[in-house]
Amino acid sequence: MEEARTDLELLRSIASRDIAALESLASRYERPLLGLARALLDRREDLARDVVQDCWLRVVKSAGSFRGESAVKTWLYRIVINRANDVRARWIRQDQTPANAEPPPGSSPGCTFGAFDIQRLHQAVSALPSDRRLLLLLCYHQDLTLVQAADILGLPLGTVKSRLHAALEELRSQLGEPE
Amino acid sequence: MSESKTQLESALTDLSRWDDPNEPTWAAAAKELTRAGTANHARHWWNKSARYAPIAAVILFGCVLVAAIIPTLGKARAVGRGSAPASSPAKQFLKSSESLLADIATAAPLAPTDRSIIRRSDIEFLSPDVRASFARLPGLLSEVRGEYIEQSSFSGTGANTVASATLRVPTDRLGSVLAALRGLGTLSSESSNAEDVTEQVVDVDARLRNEQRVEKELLSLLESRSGSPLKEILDLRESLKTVREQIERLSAQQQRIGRLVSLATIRVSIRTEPSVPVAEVPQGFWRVASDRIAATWNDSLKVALNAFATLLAIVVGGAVWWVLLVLAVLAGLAMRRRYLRHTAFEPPPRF
Repeated sequence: MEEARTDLELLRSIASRDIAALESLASRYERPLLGLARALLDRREDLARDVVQDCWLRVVKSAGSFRGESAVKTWLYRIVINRANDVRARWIRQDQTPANAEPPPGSSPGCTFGAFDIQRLHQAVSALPSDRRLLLLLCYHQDLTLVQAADILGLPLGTVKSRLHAALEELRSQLGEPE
Repeated sequence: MSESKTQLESALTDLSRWDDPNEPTWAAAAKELTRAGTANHARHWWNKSARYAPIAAVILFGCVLVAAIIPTLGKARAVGRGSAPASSPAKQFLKSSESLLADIATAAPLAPTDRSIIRRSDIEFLSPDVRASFARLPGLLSEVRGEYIEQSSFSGTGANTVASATLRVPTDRLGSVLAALRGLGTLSSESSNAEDVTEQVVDVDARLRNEQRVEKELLSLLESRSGSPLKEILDLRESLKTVREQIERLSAQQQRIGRLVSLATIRVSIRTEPSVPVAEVPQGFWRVASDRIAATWNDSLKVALNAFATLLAIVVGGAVWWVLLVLAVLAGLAMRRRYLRHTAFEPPPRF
């Protein structure tokens, strides 16, 4: 029943304090949002959970004032990305390096994903400027299309494509891959 | 190459994959959802209202500005309220308050219109033809209204010619006569003063009434003692004479003050205007051009100075309004920030 309802309908129900609707919406987006948050926060799973938890609190508080100017999915991703950026900005201000980072999946020494050493890929992505890192993670996120990524970033599709190309080139050069 | 690209993209996708089955992150939100009651509704109402805060602030500022600039609106409102029938208790209260204020105003010792004021003006101007300007002075006065030249003099010749006159005009005509005098030549100085002689008038009136009462009493005494000794009668007559002299003196003083109050005094002084040396007629193209350039430069300086003065007047003169406008805008922005923080609006991530 809940699966058949759109995101906007679920949000309207949340505004009417329907916990089942919140559960349903969370079941759709919780894992993708957690995955993105963790990737943006240098594999810090605890911080990723905090960010997504903040996201749901924001949904509960602001569901009534959602005007539908963007898709609910876009809204959720923007909240998570902005909160993650806030956390990263705090790190930079306090000159801290992320600790307690979870190792990437299958990142035991020598483990590879296809032709890539996952540990090395993670390091290369982390070393990229924040805008390019976000672009790469968002555009290759399991749950998003390029159009949706452009919508979340508030950029034209063409701009996203060209920037993505540049980011991939930079990543390849860092990995020492031929273009 | 193509194979490698696909593998890189797959690896990137895997970087943001979350597979661990963990406890839900939305539990706290669910608690908040059950806890949020009417307070949430009130907050939503406030947030919706705050959306229009900047517009409301600007409208409020505009209203304050209009009310301040056009005070006649307020007066008109007050007049309208005064003439309206006092039907409701509120209107009756308002009316009684207004009548109380009016009573207080009329109970004042002297209303502004009852005051006796002697007005004097001095005006001095330059004229190329002092004699002609002097001759035009009588034409500015109206004998029918009791206006006259109290004193006049004319002396000197050529550039040293000086003329002066003292004009007496009704107080209500003072402004128009001064305006006409200004047209007779180049105004070099002008001053006016007003002397309040109300206390003096009241004092003279009281003393006069008192002396008149004493005169009546002496007369009645004289009549009632017609059979008294001659010395007593002569003493009474002497006293009566003294009182009558005092009455005449006070009457004269009263009339003099009355004339001074009813007729304003204008002292006019006319001097010969120094002759302007005749400008040399410029000769040659470069001379004409340089003169024009200089004149244009001077004109542009004047325009720039005027513009600067106007700008300064706007900035300084309207300082209060500028401060109010800035405060209104800041308040609007603060409310808008608050609104954005508490509503569903989420800006795109900044790079």
